Amino acid sequence: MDYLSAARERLIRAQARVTVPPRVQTAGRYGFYLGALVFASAPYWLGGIYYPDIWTDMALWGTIGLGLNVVIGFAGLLDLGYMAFYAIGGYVFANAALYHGFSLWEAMPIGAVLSVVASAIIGFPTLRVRGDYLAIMTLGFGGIVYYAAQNMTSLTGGYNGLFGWKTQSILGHPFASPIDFYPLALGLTVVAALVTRALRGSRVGRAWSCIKDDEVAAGAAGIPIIRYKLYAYMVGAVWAGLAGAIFAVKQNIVSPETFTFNQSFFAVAVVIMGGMGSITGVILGGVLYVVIAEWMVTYTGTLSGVIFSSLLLLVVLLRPQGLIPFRPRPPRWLLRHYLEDPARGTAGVSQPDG
Amino acid sequence: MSLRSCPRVLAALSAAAVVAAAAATVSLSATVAAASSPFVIGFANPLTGSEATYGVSDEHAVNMAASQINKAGGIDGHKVKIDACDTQATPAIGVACADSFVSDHVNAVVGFFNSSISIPASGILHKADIPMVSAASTNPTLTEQGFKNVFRVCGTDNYQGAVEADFAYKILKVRRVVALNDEETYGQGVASFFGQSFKKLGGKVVEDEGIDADATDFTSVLTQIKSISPSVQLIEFGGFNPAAGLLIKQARGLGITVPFISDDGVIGPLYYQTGGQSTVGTYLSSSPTPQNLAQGKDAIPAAKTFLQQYVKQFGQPTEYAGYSYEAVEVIANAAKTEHSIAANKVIAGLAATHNYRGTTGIVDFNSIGNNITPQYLIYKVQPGGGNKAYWNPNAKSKS
Amino acid sequence: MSLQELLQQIANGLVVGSVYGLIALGYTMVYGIVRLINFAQGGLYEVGAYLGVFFFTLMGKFGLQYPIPAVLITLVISMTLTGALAFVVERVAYRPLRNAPLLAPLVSSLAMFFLLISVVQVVTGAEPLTYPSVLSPAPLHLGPIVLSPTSLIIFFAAILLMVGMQQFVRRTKVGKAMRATAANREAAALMGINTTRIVSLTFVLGGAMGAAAGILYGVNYGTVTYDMGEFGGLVAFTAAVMGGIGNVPGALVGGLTVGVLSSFASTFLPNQWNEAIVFAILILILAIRPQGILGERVAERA
Repeated sequence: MDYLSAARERLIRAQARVTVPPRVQTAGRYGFYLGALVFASAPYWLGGIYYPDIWTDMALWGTIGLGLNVVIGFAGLLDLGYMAFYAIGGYVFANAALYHGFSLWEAMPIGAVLSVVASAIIGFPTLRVRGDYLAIMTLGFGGIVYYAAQNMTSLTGGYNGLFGWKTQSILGHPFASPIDFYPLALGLTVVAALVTRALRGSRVGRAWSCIKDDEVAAGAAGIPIIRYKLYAYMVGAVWAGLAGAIFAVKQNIVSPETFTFNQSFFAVAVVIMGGMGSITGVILGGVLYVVIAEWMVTYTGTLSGVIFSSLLLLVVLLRPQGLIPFRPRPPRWLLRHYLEDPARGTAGVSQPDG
Repeated sequence: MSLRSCPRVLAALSAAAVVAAAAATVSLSATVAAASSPFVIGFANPLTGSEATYGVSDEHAVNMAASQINKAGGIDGHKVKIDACDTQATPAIGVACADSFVSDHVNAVVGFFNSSISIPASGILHKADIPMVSAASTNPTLTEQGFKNVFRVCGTDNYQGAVEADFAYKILKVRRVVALNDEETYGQGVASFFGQSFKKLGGKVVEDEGIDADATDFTSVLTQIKSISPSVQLIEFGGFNPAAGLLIKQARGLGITVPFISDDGVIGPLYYQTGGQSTVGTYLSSSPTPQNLAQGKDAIPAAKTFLQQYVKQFGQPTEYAGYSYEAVEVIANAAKTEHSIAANKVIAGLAATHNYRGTTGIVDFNSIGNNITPQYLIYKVQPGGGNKAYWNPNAKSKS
Repeated sequence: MSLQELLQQIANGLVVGSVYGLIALGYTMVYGIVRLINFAQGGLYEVGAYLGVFFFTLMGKFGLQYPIPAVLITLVISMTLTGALAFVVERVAYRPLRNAPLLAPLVSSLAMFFLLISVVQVVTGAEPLTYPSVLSPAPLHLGPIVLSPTSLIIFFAAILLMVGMQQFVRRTKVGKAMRATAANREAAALMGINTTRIVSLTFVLGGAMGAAAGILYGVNYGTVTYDMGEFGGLVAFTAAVMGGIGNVPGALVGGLTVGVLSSFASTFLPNQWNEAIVFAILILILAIRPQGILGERVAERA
């Protein structure tokens, strides 16, 4: 039993008592949709090259967040090498486009499939180990892919990366400027959001949630744990594989340093900060990441690592459910009220590994 | 039931994000739209990270050139403005610099220091028809891509590799060598041209291996070299610091005493700092430093003034600072002679640059944009870390 | 491969491995007590190395020329400061989450690691810093093996520290309390051991060992970089797992094994694959023998 369960039960009960009038709810929802629409269309009315580029990054990071959310948020597996799949998507596209004359459309599914294959190969032996070891193994896997990208020069161009493919196009419309990539990246985010949302509510999603909450109980209930973990890992890899190809086209170059441990760490931060399991949360996590990173690059130079790690630390300590949690909690005063309930006594003594 | 409070929070957040974005728009567009048509030169160099020592020195030189041109009235009245971008010595970030130059509509670019960045970046600038002058990227490929907008004032790796090979074969009189490189474009370039030239002269490259530029422990690879060492007479390394300093230090620590030669990615204070005493007596091939160009009886007058002014403001320049200064001057000169700051005119002006006398000697661009009068010297590291010009291939050919 | 080369490669590996073993000690001790992979250890190692440069240079400025006392003073000051930092790390990133699900302290220690290396990067401007050369680079010939005097000293210093730590855990009363806490925290608490203080102490000792490793590494190679904690931390973790995590003598065995293995790896494969090989070893061990060579000292609990 983890420390939140007891508190959470009381909170859900508490929430039931906090009534929000339906009209306010509806207004809130439409307000949200409107806000999202305005925000998503911003590159069109802001114009130029800079904003579409930034918004494309946001969409790509949103997709990365959504993919990793399946692994961390749904199934509770800490993956510290997620960007490896992003790299695979990018390099597959670059190879296919440069040496085999494939277009982005043909290369994207190949990249996604190879990412899934790679995730299955690496997931099969690793997913059996316990949670913290899994984190380290994925970190190792991410490292291997990074060094492979740097050293397998014939496939990856080595340190210098791959570049110089023909301008990609769709229906005769070339992808030349960032505003051309934006709808593509945004479309991918929307698809990823809808698909992962549907998955969350499905039988598979419920199995993941059981595994995440209590692996032993899930096993006892007859859920094939390793198989379902593998599914989560593979489903997660798809999105990074797809986003990686778009990223490559947008950047004009695929090179190893975009797939470092730092990047994988930022991906984890996006999911945790946004709120594990929450669709809107992780998308906003991605947006937040790009906004901060961009602001950092423009105004403060190298501070981004400091800001991100402190932010992540603060979120884990003060708001472990993330900024936009999947399971929202009642206001803080209410939370305090219920946590000060004398019945909470059981929360403090359970073992960390219990 | 449980999603009740969520949308409101989101609406508030997205509204906040829109406001933030709008605020960002205002502040950014304010910085982009500057005073009456300046001549903007994009400058991309590693300004942070292990190669920042060079990058920052080049930045000083470029700014110095700009302010001097502006003091003299600018380019037909257009003030020169430097738009600096930090490549962090990594291709993806450097390429993003090129993208930002395109979106900022700069008039010309000086960059990108590392050949591994200059090459992909040149493609982007080529598409946008922006003139680019490289001050430090010495890989031959850069100018062999057939891009009309690309020029370089410094020399090329094949020439540098050949000078090293000449020196090793003719002056040190060694016949069997090991050539190492750090797997990056520049180091690989120098090492492979060194190997080719050395073989052409009749020598033998016993081993030829890539090492990891980010690693700090090279004892394994050195132990292997040592095990074949009676037959190895020299180690050549193409790459940068701190790898070079660590390599020679660990080699000497293992008792490998053969001569060591490296390149102008290595020359500079960091080499002695990392390698310490072990670097003394090693050889470095390099374009002449600003200090060197201003010394001796062949001293170039422009180099003397450059050095004096630079030292007064910023201390000692690193070796490509003079070239970076030169790059800005050459661009300004091209725009002045064409009486236009339009990109195609500047490119035409650059292509027509012949016998231009600047801080690093004569600039004379050939049909593909290479400076046909590069200079390379072999330096020898002195006790205390100073470098002394030891051999001048051109001087020798005269005698 | 000739016998001489073989011996030389082993010697090279042992020198590097001893430093890794020292970092691994921090992982293994913390893991033994609180079952947490303390990612921050890699950051503490790096911070220690940088503090070392700072104090070393400072002492040079004050004219302390004798290398051995300078190294010793630097070691003591940096280990103390890094230990204090580790104390803060425990307070901030671990203690509030000790009853939280596993993911939370794991992520917080990861964030802490990242914070530490980012701060180093910001403070130093990401430029590599150099340690002043301490000893003459003249190589020592030990039979067929050649080593620099520095690396020989590094090796013995690391071994000394590790053996000292092991004796501390085995023989002292506090060490006994640590072992008791590792074996069963509640029972230890019932026996009157202040387990909270023991956990703090473990973090502090681990951090101090990490700092020592950082300084020895810096003195040996002469150069420290802001990203050294990343790879160093991971290799050391590999060492900790290899020796059996939670197992104090295992850290030494694991460190030396990883050092020698990676030294051999680059004789058979191109040198630039070295890191990838260490990662592969890590994955293999975790997949095949997660309890390590010597076995975990603490039985895994469900």
